[in-house]
Amino acid sequence: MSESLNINENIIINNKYKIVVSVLVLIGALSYLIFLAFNSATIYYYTVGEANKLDNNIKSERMLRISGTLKPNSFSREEDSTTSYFILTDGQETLNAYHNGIIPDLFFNEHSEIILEGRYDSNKNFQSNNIIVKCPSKYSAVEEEEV
Amino acid sequence: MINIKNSISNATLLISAVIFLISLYLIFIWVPTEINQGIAQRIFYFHVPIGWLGMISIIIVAISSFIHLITKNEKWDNLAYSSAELGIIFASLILVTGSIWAKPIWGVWWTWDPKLTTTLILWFFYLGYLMVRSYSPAGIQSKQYSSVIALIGAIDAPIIYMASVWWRSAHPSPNIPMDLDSKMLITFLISLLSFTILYIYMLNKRYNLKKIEGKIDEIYRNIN
Repeated sequence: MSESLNINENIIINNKYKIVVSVLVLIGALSYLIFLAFNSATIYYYTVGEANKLDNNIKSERMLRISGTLKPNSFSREEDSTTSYFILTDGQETLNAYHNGIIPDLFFNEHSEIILEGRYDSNKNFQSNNIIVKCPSKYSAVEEEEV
Repeated sequence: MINIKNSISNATLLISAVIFLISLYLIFIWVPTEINQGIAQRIFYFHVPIGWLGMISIIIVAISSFIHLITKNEKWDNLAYSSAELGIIFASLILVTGSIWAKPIWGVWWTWDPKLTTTLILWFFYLGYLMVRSYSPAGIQSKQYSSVIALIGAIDAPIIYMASVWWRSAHPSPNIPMDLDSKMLITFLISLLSFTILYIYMLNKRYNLKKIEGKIDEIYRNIN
């Protein structure tokens, strides 16, 4: 009788240990996420104007997200190359940027807001690793005759 | 009494099935294609209702947990647990449908956007709730631990909802585009309705199952 009680107690202690571990894992994972998301960048992206005003230290060291729209006619790509060059603007200031890789379809849409993820290179041009296209919040239907 | 309950439950399933068929017709055939995003935008009619259920689940879990903490009535804990199980399914589906939508439109599968990050945190809360439930010894204590997790987790739901308003985000702000074409709005509302009725049906089924599980546990404990 007393032996079976001991076994039960052991199971309970064992289970308590498991709870502590799982709570610790949970807290750890959450803090890591919060750290990732909010410590290194309390704002998700900078506008072009804000990015231009950033400290040179930040510009040379940190990975940044910069948002703006594509300046009309500024897009170019060398022949047989996957690197594209373009200029982002917030209406007033501009940012020279380049990206090596696939460009999302909506990148060229005049209503799209573009978020670049990357770093400044030594020439103060922005080298984008990821392009994120933010769509207008208005959804409208395609005209009937186009369907 | 059981018969009445059964037929109500069956009726919910039938209604949900019929409305689902209608909403599938609306989504894939009737509703016009969006002008900028094209065909990919149609996942909106799944993604947003799923998101709504993922968030409403944690609120149901938290409210029932709170009542359970005060009254110690098993019924409320059964409801909380059932809603948490459904919640993790919908929270996973939010992340999956969101990724599928993000790749063609934003250009990435995932980004540390505030709305995505807070949704992932919600997913971890569901996971934590269910982990504590399955690792801790059966009895009142594990229910109390998990209730506390649910109460903290519920704070996350309004944060997710407001994330694109409070912070800069890749999501549109406000949440649901207010300028919806009228056909798009009708399709969206019917899809929302069909998902919600399905949720009510599943919650009811899971709740009854949980009740039976509780009874079996009790019998098992009495035998030993």
